Amino acid sequence: MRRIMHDIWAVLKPVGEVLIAVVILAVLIVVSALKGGAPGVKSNLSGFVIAATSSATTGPLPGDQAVIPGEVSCIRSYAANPANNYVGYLPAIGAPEHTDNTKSGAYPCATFTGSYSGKNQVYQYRSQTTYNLINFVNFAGPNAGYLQGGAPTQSGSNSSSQFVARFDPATGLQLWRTYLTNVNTTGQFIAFGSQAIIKDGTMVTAAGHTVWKLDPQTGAILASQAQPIIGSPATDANLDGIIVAPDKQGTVLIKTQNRPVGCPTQGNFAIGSCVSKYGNPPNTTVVAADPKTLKNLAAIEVNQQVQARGNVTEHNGKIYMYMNGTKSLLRVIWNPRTQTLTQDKSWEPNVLFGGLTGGAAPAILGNWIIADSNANPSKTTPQCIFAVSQDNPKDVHTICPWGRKFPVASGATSSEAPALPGIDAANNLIYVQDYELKGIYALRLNQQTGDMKVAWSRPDVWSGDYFSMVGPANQRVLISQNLNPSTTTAQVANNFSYTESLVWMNAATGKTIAQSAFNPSTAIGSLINVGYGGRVYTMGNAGTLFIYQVEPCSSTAKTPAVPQSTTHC
Amino acid sequence: MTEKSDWEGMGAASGLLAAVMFVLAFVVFMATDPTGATPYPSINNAQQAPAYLALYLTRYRLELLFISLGVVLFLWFVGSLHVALKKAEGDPARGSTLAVTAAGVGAGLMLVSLVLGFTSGLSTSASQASAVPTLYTAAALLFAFGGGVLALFFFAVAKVVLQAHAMARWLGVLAFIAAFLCLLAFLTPFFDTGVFNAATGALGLWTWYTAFVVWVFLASVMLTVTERRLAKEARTAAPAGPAPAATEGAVR
Repeated sequence: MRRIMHDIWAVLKPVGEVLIAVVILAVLIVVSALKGGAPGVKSNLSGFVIAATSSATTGPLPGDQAVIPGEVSCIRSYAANPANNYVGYLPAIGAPEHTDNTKSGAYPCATFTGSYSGKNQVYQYRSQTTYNLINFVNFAGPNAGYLQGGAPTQSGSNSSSQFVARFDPATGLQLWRTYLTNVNTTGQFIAFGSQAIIKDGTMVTAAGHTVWKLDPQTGAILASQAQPIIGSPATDANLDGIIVAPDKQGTVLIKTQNRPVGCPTQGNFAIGSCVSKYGNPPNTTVVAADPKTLKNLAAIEVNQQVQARGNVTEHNGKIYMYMNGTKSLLRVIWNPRTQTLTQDKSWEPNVLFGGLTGGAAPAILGNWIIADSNANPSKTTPQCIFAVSQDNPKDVHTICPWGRKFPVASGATSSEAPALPGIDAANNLIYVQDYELKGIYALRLNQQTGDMKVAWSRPDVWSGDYFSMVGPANQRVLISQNLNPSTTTAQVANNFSYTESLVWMNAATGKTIAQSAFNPSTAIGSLINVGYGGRVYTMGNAGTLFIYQVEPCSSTAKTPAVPQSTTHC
Repeated sequence: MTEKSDWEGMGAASGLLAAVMFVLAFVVFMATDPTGATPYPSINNAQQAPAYLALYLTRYRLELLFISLGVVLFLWFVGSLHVALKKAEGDPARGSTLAVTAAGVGAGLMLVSLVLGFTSGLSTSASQASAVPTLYTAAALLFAFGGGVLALFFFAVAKVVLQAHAMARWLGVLAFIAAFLCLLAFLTPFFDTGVFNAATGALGLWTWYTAFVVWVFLASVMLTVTERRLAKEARTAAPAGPAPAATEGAVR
């Protein structure tokens, strides 16, 4: 009996030992495999962008050279048509501060270089130069990229001056830089300024209460003029939102955003963060400046504070500048004959209700002014969109795509829309986002009645930026920021430490056509800048431009994009 | 089989398990498509490491886990190897002491390298992720230096095997070859690309690593067979009476 037991034990013992070893190994593997998919870590790792100088990149991106001549020709004829709100600008894609005089986001002359129906991958390249905070990007042609930088993009970012730089659109390499201000010597409020390339080919740029004219070839300052600021110390005012009036001379119209008087904080967030200690900011000043000399032609104080930028359109023979104030929507009339600015007190629709806060810049679609809400966060009412008749301020149409109560479908209990809606006038479509509610909506506007209905939605796309649209009206491609789904509320609220990608969608249906890899965060409430040859530029919070170009998978000769884009071959 | 011989047998066989772990790690590594669209980066492409890790994080961690287990099992194996070498070498056992010391240092450097790899895989913020290329390079160099120190282990083992006949002579010759291959790992700090780069180089990593795994496997097989033979002999000898103490036979 003992012998049998011994023989059994002789077999069982090694088998048991192996079994225990296998179980331990299996546990180790299972635990590590289960933990391995940590989305936060993956997001952080994906957010690391290969330095431009590394041989591991698949850049620089000179763009699709074959399509550029067509784009150059297209924008010339497009800009010449007054209906396109472009007549005061150099006929170049990206010459205005933001798309055009209505800030539509539509770039019909820009090319989508990917496949509209097939698979695509997205090449990307980090600019060879790291700038100190990028605020705006403009183009004066396929080879002439410009940026304005220096205004703090978030609380804690440090800057003493604003500047304009010219960069190579293929590499993001700085070619020249011209400094405009030094807050240490002036005490000037420093916030997002403005710039545009006007029709005489010069650059007009604004920061603080001064407007400059620069030679786009050399960066030399050709002229500069401080503008009169009414009702506020000039050092607490910042001129933002350059628009060129559709008059014969192309008058430069611009408004101020002011920080509370005495507030020492720098950056746009000073406007809100100083209120509790220093009171509300003073009312906004609107100025008109001569496009050649920049000398002030007119200045008025409007009856409220306006944080967001303005838009200009010609309607019934008058030039109107529309704004979204803290109390109501408002408009100022520019009369080029008398050289006067007048606030039109007959048109001041107060569309806000409940706990909605004022919106971003209003957009213009035909006879309708499209205004969003909650440019400052609201914890009581989700964002709603309004269409207000230019002819009748009481003709207001409202849609609240996320609903009227919290929590909304995503579970969010706060709403914030720092960027204005995208407008595709040719297709009567309005695109809206909310940085905190999540999801984007396409709304179809009935231009006859002003009614808006949801055309499609993408609850999974998360954006706080403006939209851009490229390509012809019948094959429009919508480009949107898309935050990493693992982003936390704290990251959104505090430090922008999340990653994000760009997504190209079929503008008619919302279906994804291409999506980039996830990269470090970009300036919130900013434009996705469209350039030539299929290239798109975003402005990283860490000071680098991210240059993107979509290419179809149909060509087998192409090297896979590095890093691999979310949609890939 | 006595408890003592059990442990010795397990120690000798743990080299086999270590080799299995290293092979498993290689299988997982191959599953990451190392030459694909997002390739396993060489030192000069270390900036691509975050993208590679992001894409294959789970597999990367598993690979490191297998190598870690392999290194630990190798250390256990070295315990048995040390006994066998020392027994053959006799006092003062300089060679076997050198071997066990070098194995410990080499394995230690490898484990530190693996910890750096795991650190990369725990990038809980964007700023940590930006350190991944540096961690990647450091991890590759530490691993290479671990391999470089193993040259001493192999030289010492080769000396004892060939001079004191601790194991089969061909194992000693193989150890000499492995030692020379391991020495090449010390060249890795001077190369960021090509065959000597620490991350992907044929001579900077793969050759010495393969020689190491193969030698450990073969030595473990030989040592296990020897241990089993000795155990069997001990079992056979046991009924004849108590075995003489190790020193008794030497008394004249």
